[in-house]
Amino acid sequence: MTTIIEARGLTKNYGDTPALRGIDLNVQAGRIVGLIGPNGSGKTTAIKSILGLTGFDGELKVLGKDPRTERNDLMNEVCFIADVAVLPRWLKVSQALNLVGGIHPRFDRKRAEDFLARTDIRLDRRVRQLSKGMVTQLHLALILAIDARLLVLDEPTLGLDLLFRRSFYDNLLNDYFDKERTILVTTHQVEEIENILTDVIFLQHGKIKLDVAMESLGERFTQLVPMAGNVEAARALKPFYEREVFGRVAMLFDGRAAAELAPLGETRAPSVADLFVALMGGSAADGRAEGAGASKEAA
Amino acid sequence: MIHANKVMMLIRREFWENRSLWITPLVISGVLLVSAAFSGGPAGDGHGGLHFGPQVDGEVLMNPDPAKRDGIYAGYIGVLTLVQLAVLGIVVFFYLLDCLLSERKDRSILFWKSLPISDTEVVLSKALTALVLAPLIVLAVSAATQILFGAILWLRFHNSALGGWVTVWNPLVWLKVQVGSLVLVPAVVVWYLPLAGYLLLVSVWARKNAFLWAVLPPAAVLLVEAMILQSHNFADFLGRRFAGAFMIMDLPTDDGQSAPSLMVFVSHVARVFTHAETWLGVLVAIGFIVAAIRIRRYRDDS
Repeated sequence: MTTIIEARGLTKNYGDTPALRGIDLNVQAGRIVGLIGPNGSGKTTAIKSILGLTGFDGELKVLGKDPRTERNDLMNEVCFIADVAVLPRWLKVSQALNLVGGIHPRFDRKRAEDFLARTDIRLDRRVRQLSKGMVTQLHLALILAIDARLLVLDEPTLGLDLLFRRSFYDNLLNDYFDKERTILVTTHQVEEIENILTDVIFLQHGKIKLDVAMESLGERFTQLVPMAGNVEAARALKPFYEREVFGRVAMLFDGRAAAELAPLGETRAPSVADLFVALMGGSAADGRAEGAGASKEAA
Repeated sequence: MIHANKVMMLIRREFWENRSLWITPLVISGVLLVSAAFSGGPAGDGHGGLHFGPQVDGEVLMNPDPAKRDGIYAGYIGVLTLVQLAVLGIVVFFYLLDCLLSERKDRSILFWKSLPISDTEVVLSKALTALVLAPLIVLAVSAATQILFGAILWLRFHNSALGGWVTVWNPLVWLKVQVGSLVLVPAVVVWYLPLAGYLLLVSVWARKNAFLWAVLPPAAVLLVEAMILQSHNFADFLGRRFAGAFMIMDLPTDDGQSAPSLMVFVSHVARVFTHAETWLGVLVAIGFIVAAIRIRRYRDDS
């Protein structure tokens, strides 16, 4: 396995305000990592550090290079889509193809043209004449045609309707992703990408709250809805989160085997969204969420 | 490391975005040619003629000396280029002020930064666009305009009495004017390099209102010096920065009697290249441009 991103004690302060408080990351090739956190959690700062767009303290290697000093080399193998609004509005679609073709040594123009042919985007259009969804499609067409090892997506589908969001991720999986490539994606819409992720990282207040591979998520976390008489027995097993839904209690356990919990009620693997709410809910959540096993183990 | 092919691509991109860089000279050329076609003759009674040339009085026209008549013609077509260059100065001024700010305003800088191009390549492409490519376009358009201008004059006047007296088309004069322009423009560009570097620096540094950021600090220094020290050293300095190249050239004045020969003209213009002040300015300009490249590296408005 090749390490694509390795960070140790990654720290960044904006004046007196800490944005990242010493995070450790290890991203391997061929993974799709979701970096998930509320606004102000440090997601964007982490991504900017990885892309060499901001300075930082601590150790960080991306494809074995330091983004602060080797950014120019790094960008030959790293692509990113920052947000739907960043393609220059005066740019014509045909010019965009010429431009990226003239600049990027790993751009396959034919691939981009084939992708565009499947959309309603015409080559003589300027970006300002395209809808928001089409701008994203154009950006995706350019990116998909670049043979990069790491693709970073920061809220790539912000402001798009459901159909565009869905097809964006479908295209990403079908036309781009393979074992050699790695994708790091941030988003607010956890539920939409959780089935494509191989890893999730939760960030809160500049710290990593959870860093887990999807394949071990089901083994590690269990959701239990105990039968009426078993609530106290279930509580004795120390769930780290519980909430009440339609008069029944749902509890989340970290590190308890489903078999151990099954006699008490219904068990299932929690979704990433369930975990997100449980771990990041903060004051809205039950006090039990604080100091729960999950955050201790992740730290 | 700078990749020439990437810089070329980025320069093309500048002309896609800033179409005024090539449309403006074409529009000016069109206006000049239309006025040449429909205005009065290039002399006559000295009134109502083409006013953008040197004033010609009847006496000169009556002068049969062909060298003097060619000199007058050179003055006419040279002025066509000077008009273009004056407008180019204004266009380039605002281009340089805006070029590193607008990419942050519309956030497209994140797109540019997603491509494998260095800050050096980006800033150099903008400086080359403003200081080399845009002037070359203007010179090419001017050269063509002068030919068309000559053709219009010839069509209008070759059969008239004037045709016998003034030069209405002379390829050799045209060629000399081109050579003169090709020497004059680099001299002026080199002299103004520090100003260009300063504008790039303001552009990369300002978050908005680049024009005010460019103009207000020098204006404030002027004012403070005038009020507190009651002197005008800074004003003298600025005056020198703007007019210095022409003071150093000290071109022989054209009194309408005889235009300077090409050799004399070139030797005067070349004084700029041998003047220490010019190269001191170049060093300062390099400092400004290097600073602009450094600042762009981590400049972020989002």
